[in-house]
Amino acid sequence: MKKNLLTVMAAALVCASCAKEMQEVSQLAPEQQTLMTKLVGGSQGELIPGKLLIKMDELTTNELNSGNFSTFNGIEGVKITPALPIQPKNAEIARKYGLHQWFAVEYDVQVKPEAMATRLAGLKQVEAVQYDRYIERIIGGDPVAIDPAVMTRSAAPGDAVPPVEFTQFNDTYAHHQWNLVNDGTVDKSAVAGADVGVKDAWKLTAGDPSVVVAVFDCAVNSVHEDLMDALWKNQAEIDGQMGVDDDGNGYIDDKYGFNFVGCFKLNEGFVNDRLDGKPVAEAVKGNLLNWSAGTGHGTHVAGIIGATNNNGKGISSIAGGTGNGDGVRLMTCQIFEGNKASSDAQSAAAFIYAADNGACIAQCSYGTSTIITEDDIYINGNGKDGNEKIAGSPLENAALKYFLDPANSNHESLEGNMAIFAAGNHSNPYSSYPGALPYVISVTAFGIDYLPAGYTNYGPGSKIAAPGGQMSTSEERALAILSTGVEGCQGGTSPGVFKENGITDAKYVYMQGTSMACPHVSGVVSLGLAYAKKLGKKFTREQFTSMLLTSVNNIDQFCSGTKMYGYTSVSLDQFKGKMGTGAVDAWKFLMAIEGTPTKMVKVGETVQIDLSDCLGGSAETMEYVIEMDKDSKESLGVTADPVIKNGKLEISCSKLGAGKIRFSSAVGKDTTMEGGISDMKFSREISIVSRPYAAANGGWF
Amino acid sequence: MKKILYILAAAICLLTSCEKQLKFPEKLYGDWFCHSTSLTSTDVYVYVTFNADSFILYQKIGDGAYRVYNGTYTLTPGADGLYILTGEYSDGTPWGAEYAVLSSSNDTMVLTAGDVTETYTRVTDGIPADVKNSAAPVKSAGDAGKVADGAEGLRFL
Repeated sequence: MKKNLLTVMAAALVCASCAKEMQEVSQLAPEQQTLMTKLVGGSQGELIPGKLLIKMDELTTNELNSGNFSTFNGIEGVKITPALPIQPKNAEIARKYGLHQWFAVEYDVQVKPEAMATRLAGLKQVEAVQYDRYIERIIGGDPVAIDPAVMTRSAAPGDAVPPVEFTQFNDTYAHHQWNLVNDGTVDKSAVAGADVGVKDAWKLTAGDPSVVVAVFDCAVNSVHEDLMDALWKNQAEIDGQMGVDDDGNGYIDDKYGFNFVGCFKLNEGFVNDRLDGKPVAEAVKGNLLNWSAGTGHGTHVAGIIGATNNNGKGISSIAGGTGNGDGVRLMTCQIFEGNKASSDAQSAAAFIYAADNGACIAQCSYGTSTIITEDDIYINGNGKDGNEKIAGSPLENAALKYFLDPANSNHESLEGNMAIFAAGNHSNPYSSYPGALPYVISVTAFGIDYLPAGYTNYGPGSKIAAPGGQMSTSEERALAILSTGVEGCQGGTSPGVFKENGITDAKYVYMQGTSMACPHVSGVVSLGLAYAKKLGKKFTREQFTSMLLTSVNNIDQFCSGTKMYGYTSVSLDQFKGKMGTGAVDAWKFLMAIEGTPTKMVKVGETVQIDLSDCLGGSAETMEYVIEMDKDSKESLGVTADPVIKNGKLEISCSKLGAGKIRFSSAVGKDTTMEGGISDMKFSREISIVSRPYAAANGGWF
Repeated sequence: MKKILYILAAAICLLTSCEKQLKFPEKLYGDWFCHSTSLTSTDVYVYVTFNADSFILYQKIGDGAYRVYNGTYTLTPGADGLYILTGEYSDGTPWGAEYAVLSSSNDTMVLTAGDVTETYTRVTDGIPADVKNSAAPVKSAGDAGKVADGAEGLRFL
């Protein structure tokens, strides 16, 4: 997110020059030392001109909110406004994370940011100062339009599309979507099962309109034939007047979401007084979604999650329903617009908006491009030696926590909300942030061959893997991810790509990246919530996350040998155990949501129980703590503690009975250093029933 | 004479009912619910439909949802007038045990396997729709990640 954060090399240099810096710090003028104490993050990155963010103490916060700006009497030419729009009904939750204490300071752009930051830090009422900067997107390749004449590399150009029934839906291009159903025939390199495991899951649920997914990205194309019925709709604004906050939610004209980039003066844009002195149409123009600028990245992401299924058009999606208006709903939180990105404060506001307006999943295919190895560096911008300040995002982090808070739950089956991020496309051995934070999901990417994609980040911070595709040229488009696009969008750096090979239909395009892997997990989580609702069940976010992370397939089994990425041969061993717990599987996830899996074992024998449907392949590669309470042991007559051997649970029951076993582990931790990236803990329970006889497949007879 | 007629009628009824009671395998056909099992340590819900040579099994054990299995079965006469019930799931997995059909009437059937005794009651109005509709098919745990036939040599390894 912050362009000039530490790289590994930079970190090494910093360490090497640590002694020198210590000396320099000790020589700072008093006011500069005060700034170092209060500054969160440094001045690196592309700063918003003439704008800073400050956190005030409680007393002054109250004064400012009542119109008393006397604290700033000594600083000329500054304008102080709340950094975020806090709805009165949610003031208490916002207060929990200190969001109400943050203010935006506008000042003359001729004044150097460091100078203004120093002056503000000198005020005793100011608790923290942050430079406001543009966030980073995850850079992926340009979209490549679908060419129905070229199905796979195994088919000769001009061959008819193989008549394979991939899904139960009638969507035109469903048979191109190996990421949904991969039977190993789509391409010669295809591995059956290298998909998201959704085909059978659709028999149980294909989504539910109660699940609102906020897409933090470029705007979702609101007039796309395969998306227009899947949009979250703010009916009061749709039916209302232009330039009027018809629904009173503080946002003007947010029909399908809100443009946090175009609405540049964010702190003023949420209230009607922004219109002062300006024609209404001009003032609110920036609030409207703009999906035409850029590559259609957000439209592509949205299609993977919730393009309408079974409508005889375009693609199938993971949670797009069955064609009866029963898919998930897609809300746009536009934080990118062409080459423009939102600021920290604007992206923070987007999380507030999503929470306040009904989203239960934040789909976030963006993140930092450089390596960050500690949570504290990302959140507070504190360099490892404590004397250096680099880019930090305390405001965005606080807003993210606000979104996740159980008090803001937006789905009846979940306490809290979920945030899912892309791991990044820089082949780094660390996940990007914010995805690496211990309370959100970071998604790595694999290809049609079930191998890690060459671009994917991996390692500490990574939580789970999903299809992201891997193509080297547009001729290999079938190996990437097909989804919805924006006709005629201008943002690609290869403007001719839409015209080659007789391509005429750009409403559906291929893209690749962890940006594409991320919405697969958002889609699966959407299905999970829909199914939990159907079953009348409710979970905490921690429970739900634990089920997601243990309902996986073993991707490590493929991580051996080498693979050619372009002209480079890469050892696959480097990915082993570092892609998260495994590859996401919708079916297994729904099975976990159904209930505690029950394993029947034969009494009087030492048996080995397959755990792959409970823990995925992670049982073979990760360390689990196994807990079995006294009552369960007594009921089953277990005298020797059960253990995991080769991914299987070994247990011996001497009595007929039943009991439970809990497996606990953690993912994402950087085990090579203290502190650093924190882990995400998860656990899973299974039930054991001992019988005199037991079928190997768990059947009752 | 009247008394003789009563005895004759009773004998005919007895013969008729005896003949019905012993009529296998048709006696087995239909829908059954596992009313009780000597394994009582957890909640068990089992519905089973026996057709001519196949079965469909809906089971819910513990906190889980219903799962549906199917396969084939064989009913063979055993010693002491008992019948022996064996079967195989559609994935080729044999039943965990062979059952002795201890008794069966129109309404109840008692199966034994080792020390376990299970009593099934006939479901006259079909297996409940919510059970059938909510039951998830059982998949093999190793379904994911298999290389398609003929494609193995072409992977980028």
